Amino acid sequence: MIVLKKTIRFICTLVLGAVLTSMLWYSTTVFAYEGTVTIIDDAELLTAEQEASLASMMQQSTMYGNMVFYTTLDNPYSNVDFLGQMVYEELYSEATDGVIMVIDMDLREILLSGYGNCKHTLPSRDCTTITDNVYRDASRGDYYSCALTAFEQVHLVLNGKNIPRPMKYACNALLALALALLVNYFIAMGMSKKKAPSADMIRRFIHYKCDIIAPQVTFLREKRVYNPRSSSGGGGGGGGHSGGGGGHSSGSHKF
Amino acid sequence: MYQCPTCGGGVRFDIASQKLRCDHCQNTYEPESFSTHGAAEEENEFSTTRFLCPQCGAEIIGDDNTAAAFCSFCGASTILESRISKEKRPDHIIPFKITKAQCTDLYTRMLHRSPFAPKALKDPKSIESFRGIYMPYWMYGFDYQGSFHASATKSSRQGNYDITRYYDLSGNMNASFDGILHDASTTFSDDISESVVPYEVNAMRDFHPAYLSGFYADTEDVNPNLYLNDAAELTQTYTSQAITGHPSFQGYHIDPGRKTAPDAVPRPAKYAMLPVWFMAYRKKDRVSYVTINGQTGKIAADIPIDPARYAIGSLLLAIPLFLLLNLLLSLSASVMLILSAIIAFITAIVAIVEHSHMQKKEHGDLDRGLRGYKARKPPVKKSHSALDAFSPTLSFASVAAAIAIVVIDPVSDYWFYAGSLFSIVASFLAFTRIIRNYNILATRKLPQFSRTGGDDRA
Repeated sequence: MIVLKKTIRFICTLVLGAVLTSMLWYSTTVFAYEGTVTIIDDAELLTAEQEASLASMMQQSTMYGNMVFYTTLDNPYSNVDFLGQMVYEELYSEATDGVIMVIDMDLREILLSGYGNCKHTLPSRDCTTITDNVYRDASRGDYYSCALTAFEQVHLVLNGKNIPRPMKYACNALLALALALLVNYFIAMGMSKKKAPSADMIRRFIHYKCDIIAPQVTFLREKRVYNPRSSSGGGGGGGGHSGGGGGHSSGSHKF
Repeated sequence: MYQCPTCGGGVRFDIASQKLRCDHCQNTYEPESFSTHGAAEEENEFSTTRFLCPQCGAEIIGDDNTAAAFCSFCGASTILESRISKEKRPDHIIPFKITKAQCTDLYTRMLHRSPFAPKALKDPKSIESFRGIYMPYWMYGFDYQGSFHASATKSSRQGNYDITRYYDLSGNMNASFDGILHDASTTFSDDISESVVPYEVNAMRDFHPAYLSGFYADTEDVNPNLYLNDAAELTQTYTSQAITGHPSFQGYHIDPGRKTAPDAVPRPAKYAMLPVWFMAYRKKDRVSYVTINGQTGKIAADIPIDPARYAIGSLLLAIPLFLLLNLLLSLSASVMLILSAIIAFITAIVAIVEHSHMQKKEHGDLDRGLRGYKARKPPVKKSHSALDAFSPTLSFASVAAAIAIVVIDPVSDYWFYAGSLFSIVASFLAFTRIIRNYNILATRKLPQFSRTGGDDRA
């Protein structure tokens, strides 16, 4: 029981440390400028009124960076994340603070990405959560609600508030319990007090004498196999896509 | 019972002094100083009292009448029938070195480190019921004399060539082993008897009945040939290690399949009595044994899981896991489904392996001494609970569903969450069987030793 209490105390200390560290991380990010709102509705999913309403919603978040909403009927890149990156970089640079939401009617996928400082305040896990929360609207064809709700939740996250994750909490609770049952079972098995001694352990307790007399090594034959090594080189690490700081957070969902 | 030559009081073996001590005048005597009557007779046998449990048929020998109060093997509080008997005289004995107080202290500390052990195991009455019993063991010895050969290779590289050189390693071997122990009693289950060893055989003494004063003993009823091959194989492991570890053969890769060595020449098996502190904890129709090596203090114990403690412990552990999952990770629906399916798969495998092991244990298949004894009785039909088959089937079905969902990749997350829920529910159900079967594995059926008695209706 004492060991269990100490273990619980240790785990709680670890968790508290992790929470405080993540809070500290978020609190040190500073935003300094007014961004712009850009709506490019190539797929013509929104009416003019809807665009204006959406722009008004997006305007609330421009203190954190640029807000971009983009729709398309054709994705030449076969990857919605890359499409979002290309669109954002055409408008601004990858290092500029901002958020882009893409509704790709070609791949039938929605994407949310954060750039610059926003990639820290809107990390990938939050992008994934928001797209998980809104994809159903897109599935129903209600693209306006999809975009509006998405930017509402972006605004909440950038303001440091929580966004709803109902199914996640429920499933995480059950998953945590299942993991705990499994871990405790293996703990109980590990503490099982019936372990037969190893051969090495037994040898220490018995009468044992083993002398090797006149050891001899006799060479019999040799086999040579030709096996040239392939030339090394193949150099050029290549890869290393788009150097420089960059990078962005992102989350997507099919609809 | 032996009597004190000074005052005529009863003498018992005193662990602290390793001598016989008089209960009245506290004088101590060497056990060997007590002569045995009828020396010629006592070479192969010695006189003692045999106690028989009318409930399970277990028999135990001793000179202390408190053995009449309860049975160490089935835990029943019952008056044991007793009679004077002549028993086969063991060759050797290792006297108790661990006192009862040390034994209970070791046991209590072990329980503190077992968070899910039932509270009843800590009952002072149970702890007080530890009894010092000498368990019978067969002791095997082997000699090796002769030449050995082994095929070996050494590999290297020269330029563009891989070079392999073949060698014959040879020499003469002169080896001897003694003190390899296997239990000689069907009442002492193999899983316990092989976990409570090893014993320091250097401390072994020639047997004298006086060492049993104040303790009890079980007697041998297993053919010594039963474990002969096992003991021989163990010594062959050592001779192989001696060859491969010899400095002259370092750096050579020895082919284990192409080795010849002298055959093991067995010595006659010796019969030894080894000290064990023994406690039986009985709950309904199951019994748990706790045994402590009376020389080294090593513990081999059946520790079942208390389901309530296990559930509470799991809920407590689930809290930090839940916080970790929410704060540090954000699992997408598909990742959650995959994780749940993995857990369901693991629980299904654990349930199947456990169930198989449990069947073998309940059938007595894991105890080789008992297997030979049961071969004389009609076979017992293995029982199968429907739930034991159902729960892993459900877990595998949930894994199949998860695979199907991942492959189809529906748009709606609800499919993934439903699949996760299915896997987790299947895992929970599997866990109820796993814990139940774990407790069956960690305990044993009430023994029925129909050697000369026992209750055939049980």
